[in-house]
Amino acid sequence: MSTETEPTLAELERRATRSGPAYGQDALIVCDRLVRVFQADGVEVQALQGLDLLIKEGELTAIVGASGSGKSTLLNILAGLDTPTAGSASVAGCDLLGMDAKTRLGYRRDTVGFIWQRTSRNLLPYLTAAQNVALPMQLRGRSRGMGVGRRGNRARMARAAELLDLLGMSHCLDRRPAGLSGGEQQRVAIAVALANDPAVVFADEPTGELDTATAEQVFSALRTANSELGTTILVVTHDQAVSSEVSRTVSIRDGRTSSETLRHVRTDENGGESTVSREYTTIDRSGRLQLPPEFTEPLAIRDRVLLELQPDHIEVRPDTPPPV
Amino acid sequence: MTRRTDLRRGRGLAAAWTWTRLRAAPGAALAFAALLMVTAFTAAALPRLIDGYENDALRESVAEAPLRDQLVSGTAEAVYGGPETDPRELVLPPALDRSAEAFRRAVRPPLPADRDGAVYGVHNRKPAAAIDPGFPRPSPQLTPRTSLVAQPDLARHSRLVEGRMPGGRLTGPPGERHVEAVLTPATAHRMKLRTGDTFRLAGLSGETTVKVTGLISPRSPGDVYWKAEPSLDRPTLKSLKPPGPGSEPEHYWHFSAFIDRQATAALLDLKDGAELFWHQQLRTGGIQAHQVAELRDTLTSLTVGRDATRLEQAAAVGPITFNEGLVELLASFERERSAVAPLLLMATLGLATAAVTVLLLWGVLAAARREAELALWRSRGSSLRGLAGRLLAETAAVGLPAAALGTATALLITPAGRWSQALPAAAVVTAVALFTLPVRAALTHRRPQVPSQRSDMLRGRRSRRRTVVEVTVLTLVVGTLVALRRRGTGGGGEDGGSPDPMLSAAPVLLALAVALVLVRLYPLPLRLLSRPAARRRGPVAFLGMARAARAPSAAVAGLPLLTMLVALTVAAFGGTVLAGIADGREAAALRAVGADARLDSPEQLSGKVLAQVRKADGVADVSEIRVFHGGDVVDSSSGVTAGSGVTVVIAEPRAYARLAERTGFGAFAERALRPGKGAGGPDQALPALVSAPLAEKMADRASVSVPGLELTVHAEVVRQSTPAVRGADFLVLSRAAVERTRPDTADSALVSPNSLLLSGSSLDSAALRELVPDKGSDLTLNLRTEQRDSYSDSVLQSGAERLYVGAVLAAAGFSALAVLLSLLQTAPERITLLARLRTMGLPRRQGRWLLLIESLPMYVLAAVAGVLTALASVPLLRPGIDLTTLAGTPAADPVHLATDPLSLALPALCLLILACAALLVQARIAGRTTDLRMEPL
Repeated sequence: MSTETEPTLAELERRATRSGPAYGQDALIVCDRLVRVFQADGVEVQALQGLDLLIKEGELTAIVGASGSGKSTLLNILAGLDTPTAGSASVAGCDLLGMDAKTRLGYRRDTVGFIWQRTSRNLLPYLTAAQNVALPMQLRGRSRGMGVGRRGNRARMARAAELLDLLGMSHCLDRRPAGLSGGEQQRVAIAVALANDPAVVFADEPTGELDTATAEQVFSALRTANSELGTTILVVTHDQAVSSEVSRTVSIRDGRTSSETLRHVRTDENGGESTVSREYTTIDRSGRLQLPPEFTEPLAIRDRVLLELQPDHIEVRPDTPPPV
Repeated sequence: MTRRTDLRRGRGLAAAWTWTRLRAAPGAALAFAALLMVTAFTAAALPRLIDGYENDALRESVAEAPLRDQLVSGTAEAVYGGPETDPRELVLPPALDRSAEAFRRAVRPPLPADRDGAVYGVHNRKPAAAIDPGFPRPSPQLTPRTSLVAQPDLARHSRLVEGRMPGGRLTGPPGERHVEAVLTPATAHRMKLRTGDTFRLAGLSGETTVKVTGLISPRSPGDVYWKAEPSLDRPTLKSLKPPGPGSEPEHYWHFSAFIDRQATAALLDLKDGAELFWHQQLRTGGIQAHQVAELRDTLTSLTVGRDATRLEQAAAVGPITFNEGLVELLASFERERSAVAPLLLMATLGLATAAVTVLLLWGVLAAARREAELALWRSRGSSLRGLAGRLLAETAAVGLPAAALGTATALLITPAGRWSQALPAAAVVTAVALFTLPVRAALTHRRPQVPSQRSDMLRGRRSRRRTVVEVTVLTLVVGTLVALRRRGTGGGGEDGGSPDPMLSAAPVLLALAVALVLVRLYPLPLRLLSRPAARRRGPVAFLGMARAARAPSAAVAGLPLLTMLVALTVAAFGGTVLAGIADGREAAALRAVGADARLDSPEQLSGKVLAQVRKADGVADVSEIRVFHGGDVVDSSSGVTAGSGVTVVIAEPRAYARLAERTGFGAFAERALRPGKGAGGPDQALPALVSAPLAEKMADRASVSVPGLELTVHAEVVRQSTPAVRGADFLVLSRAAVERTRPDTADSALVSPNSLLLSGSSLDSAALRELVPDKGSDLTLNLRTEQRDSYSDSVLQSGAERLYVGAVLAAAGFSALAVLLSLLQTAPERITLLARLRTMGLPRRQGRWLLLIESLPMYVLAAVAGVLTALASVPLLRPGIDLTTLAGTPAADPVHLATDPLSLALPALCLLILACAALLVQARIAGRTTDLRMEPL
């Protein structure tokens, strides 16, 4: 966006205080110390408490967390529907804090796509699947290469059919949402989100209302979109099992990222493939580390820990009283 | 260039989407179309109906006025010694024709002149005495009077029956003139004249002899040619009351004779000279009520203003005097109209408010129902303008044809009236209907909404901005009402100006203020109520109250409440007005008749009639009275006349006392009129019931004299009114007491009854009518019911009442619609709730109760508030509103607003019943369809 040519004051300040390469310079989604405070009936709720998150282009990432951990808040901020109280966030070069209504509209039209949990909330009930997919293209209006009038209409319908075909939904082209199963509805919703060829697609609990088998289909559709179209996809869910479906899983706890699971395919000497997933804990920019409860509880780690720097790792010990 | 293509594409797309969307919910679209059609129809029809009604009322009052008052009439003198040069020139045809042409030109639009209904001519300024002794003279001392008239085209407007038309030649010197004339057969017959006869008229000096040369009969006697001037086609009997008390009126004949136009110089010889006259008839159908002020201005200008000067210059016949009749007719119509107009405006404003709020409600509820859909549109990248435009296209696609249809129908079926009010009204209604949904949606979705926002959470406190707006509106409203109250009686009534819109808006404003307060305060009593409800065993009361108090559905709070309150207030207030009118008419009719029926005779009533009346169906009680008009009351001690023209009533006291008590006109104890014991003889002062003004003027004892009877009385009972007499001076005596004091009168014609006052709730009017033969009887029968009905028989009254009732009913209908709409809107939510609760084991019966308890408190509150508002508006508006004109009763019986419990409570009760019925139907539906996955989208 315009940050490249005309730096804002905040940008200048950030540059001035920054040392070394900019945070998340090569990432598509950058969340820097995001804070979001809600005021409900006079009570302050800190939904995000300085969350850092970097997502590179082309990643298929899941954000998991218990309810109330702030994941939906994060998604709303990234979707441009909500603004953070403090910190900064940018998606595909768009600064989410400094957008006026018009750029926000453009952002929603061109840069991002959404899939929501409730299947019925993703699709207009009175449009067919293909029309639903074509809708964002029409709303964008001055489309690139789509042409005008009937020609534009035909081009849009062709793209809609292409997308639905890609997601294995070509048989549902002319059916209305009421005639689709929940899984099919969500796959159409994915096509809708992809319609304008966005840089990122956000999915909020896309499988929340679906059974496991159907959820698997939906995830496979997401993976297809990710691999075939190269679209960066960010899925938010409370379902821990999702980590087996995506390459990267980020856990959020109490408004901060706590741990990450990376999953990649390893090919052994015999040519056999195996999926390896490793769980990491995240360390934020000021060096804070979150230890998962499954580690801290057995050792009764509370309040303080002892750290010892070893040549290739750091040891964390419970703060046991010194021997008498 | 891009912009243009953009627009074009946008439109094409929008149309396609519009069609798709409308097809998705045809029910809602059709309902919207129907609502808008009805509302636009009402908006267009009502102003035209009011116009039409006012036109009818004006035309009726013009048509019922004497013909002379319907004409624009002018006169000019032509006498010797007048300001003009030579009167002989003026009365000759050239000058007359010239002046008539000028007059015809002067009566121009907006006065709708009827070109065929014009007549002019010349006659003697005052009818001259016909001094021949052979003429019939009803009063011997008065001679007949004659007008010699010359009107153009006499031959064309009449047929010569015998003889010949008069010649234009005058013979003889002034003082001994001979002139020829023709008469109509009716005149000749009545005045005992024949062709060839002559008669003499007294002149300035000497006499003018008129020779009858023939008889002519009018071709169309009803024509203005024959009617504009009096006594043209037949003589009229004129009455004259000589000065002095007690004189009898005297009568004489006035007749006209037609002379040739060339012979008009003869008129100048008569006593008062000649007079030129012009009459121009107006097309009654061309008179519009809304033009009355303009017509009056034009007439005034013609009488004294610039047009008058211009006319006199053009006519060149000297000063022209105009007849004031038409101006006064218009002025009196305007007075009456401006007395009725505030009430009509009040009903119209109430209806308008109800209709507009229902349209607003529709838009707001539609926006709420489609919130999720619109949020999706918005988050998929629809711009705010695009969203609003698409919604507008949607409402317009359905609404414009519907509104056009409704307006066109209204214009077609209301033939009269102006377009200038109907079309803007319909346009405003249509605009409100079309724009509410887009504007409301644009406001709600100004920022795209967070989809995960929880809908079941109570959304914080209300914004401060809203408080400020509410307080401002409230202050304005209360300030207006206070100002209105301070100013007291509504202005604008007397001078015939336009009705005071503030006065008429008062009920609506009051309802608005109460609604604002109520919307703010209603949770308080509900929360208080929900506490004891929570302690009770059943879950229903608690659940219902909690839902009503904490999270009232959109069905009841806000706009629906306002709509209901406004409509209830208007309906209840309208009921009060109508009840006040009905009461006023009843009271005035009772006042006028004195009982349920009254039979009068100038002589004593025969025993046969008395017996028949007593036997007639439905007659419960008969009071026999003897009425003397014009009795004199002289104070005994001073000898000063306390009252002349006093109505003296000699009544059978028992029945009369019962009647007085029943009618409420000066109830008294029957024994008060009994004379003291041991009394007797002519000197005994009789106890009398005396009117208050008379009692003030007479001392302790007074003597009463009526023809054939002189009595000494003393004022025993003083009352303001009595059934038998309307006037202010009356005196009632007991017949038994009179007979005892003057035994000679017993059973004589002097004291036997000449009037009967009948009571009975279901009088058989037909049977009573049979007692009164049409002809050959002096009996007159007055029925209270007929008298009452006579008050509403003019177009002004009956039309206004009908319009008022119509507007109030329509307002009530819109409020009912508001209730149904709001209930319909929240139906899915309620049905889902019930279904869920039933899975938890809520019995069907309790489910029904839950729905009622959840919604009814709001309706009860609205109903109570509506009744209270109407109740409050009665004393607030009572000084400003005079119902007398609307009721049509005489000014002596003014009619005011009256609080009528039934009319106050009825609309509220209807509303509650409607709401209950709708809720129970919903509960029944909920019992059938149990789809737990149902989500209102």
